[in-house]
Amino acid sequence: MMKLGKNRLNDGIILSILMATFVMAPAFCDEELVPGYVAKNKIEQVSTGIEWNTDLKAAEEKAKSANKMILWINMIGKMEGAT
Amino acid sequence: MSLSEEPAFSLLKDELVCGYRDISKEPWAGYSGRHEVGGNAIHTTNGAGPHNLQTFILASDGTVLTCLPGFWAPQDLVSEVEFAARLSDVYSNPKYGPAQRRLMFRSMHIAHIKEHSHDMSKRSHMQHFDQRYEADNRFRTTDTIKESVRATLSDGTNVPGDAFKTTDVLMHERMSKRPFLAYADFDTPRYVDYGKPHYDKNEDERVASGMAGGTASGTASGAPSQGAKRKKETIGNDPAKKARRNQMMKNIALQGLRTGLRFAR
Repeated sequence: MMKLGKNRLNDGIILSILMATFVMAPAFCDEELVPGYVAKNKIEQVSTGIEWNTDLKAAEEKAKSANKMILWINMIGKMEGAT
Repeated sequence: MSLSEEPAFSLLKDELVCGYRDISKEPWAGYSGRHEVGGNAIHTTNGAGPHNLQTFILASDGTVLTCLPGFWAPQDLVSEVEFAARLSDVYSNPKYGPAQRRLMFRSMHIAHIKEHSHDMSKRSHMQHFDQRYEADNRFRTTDTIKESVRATLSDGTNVPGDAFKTTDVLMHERMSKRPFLAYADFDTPRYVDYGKPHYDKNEDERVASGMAGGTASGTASGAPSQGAKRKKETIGNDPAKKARRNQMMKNIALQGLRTGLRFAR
């Protein structure tokens, strides 16, 4: 009887691990966490390494004279600040 | 976050004129937990958080060539910019009249879906909580569910995940109906309208593995736990925040009225 109980406990643990691996993990498998210090460097790189216009008309003038397309972002927050 | 990564960063820096605007105050904008600089971030799936972020590729006169709703992986952003360059060539080619340009715009957007790689398609699965929202709230009318599958279902209670179009398909289908519109005329609220308006992956409550951790853990759907909900400040068009602001204004007005009446007596 004791052995049966121990087996059940082991089965339970194995089942829990399988559940965590195959049921919970897939919810996050396509997502990768970027730690704060890395994210901060990336934000600084983007906000200072690229010239950002905040006036579309001005961006259009620059694009016309340089014969370039415009990448225009609508975002909640500021490029260099909280989002 | 994807903008800092190659090949996107060099493309933006050298080949495009870049700009942005804060849409926090727009009535159609979504909202999320406030993320300070230095907080954790997350690489998520293409098209996640469409109400909070939109990346437009415009011709030099501000005409919309394409618009990527939500987050996109850097390599996918780059391939869409390359596609937009082909549309820009059509737009500026004097050989084509306006009607022919619009026709070409439509067919090029639809044809481009087939040019997407299998990996891009895999990166473009709609978030499960967005799928749930679409099935629960607009099963009959949403264009996010494949028509062939919807016809076999009676309601939105058990819609399988693969019944939903991937966001890379949805994007081009919706764009094909908006040929060469000026940015000012582009109906962004309708274009980005899929899934929940609230988008938050609770990055700061996660541990390095990407799993929710700590006491104020996030949930699989990205929804904050009760504890996190209570303490987290939001950014964007948060209806609860708006209701609190309205209540505060009412209280101030009421207080002013009472004070005025007291003086009048």
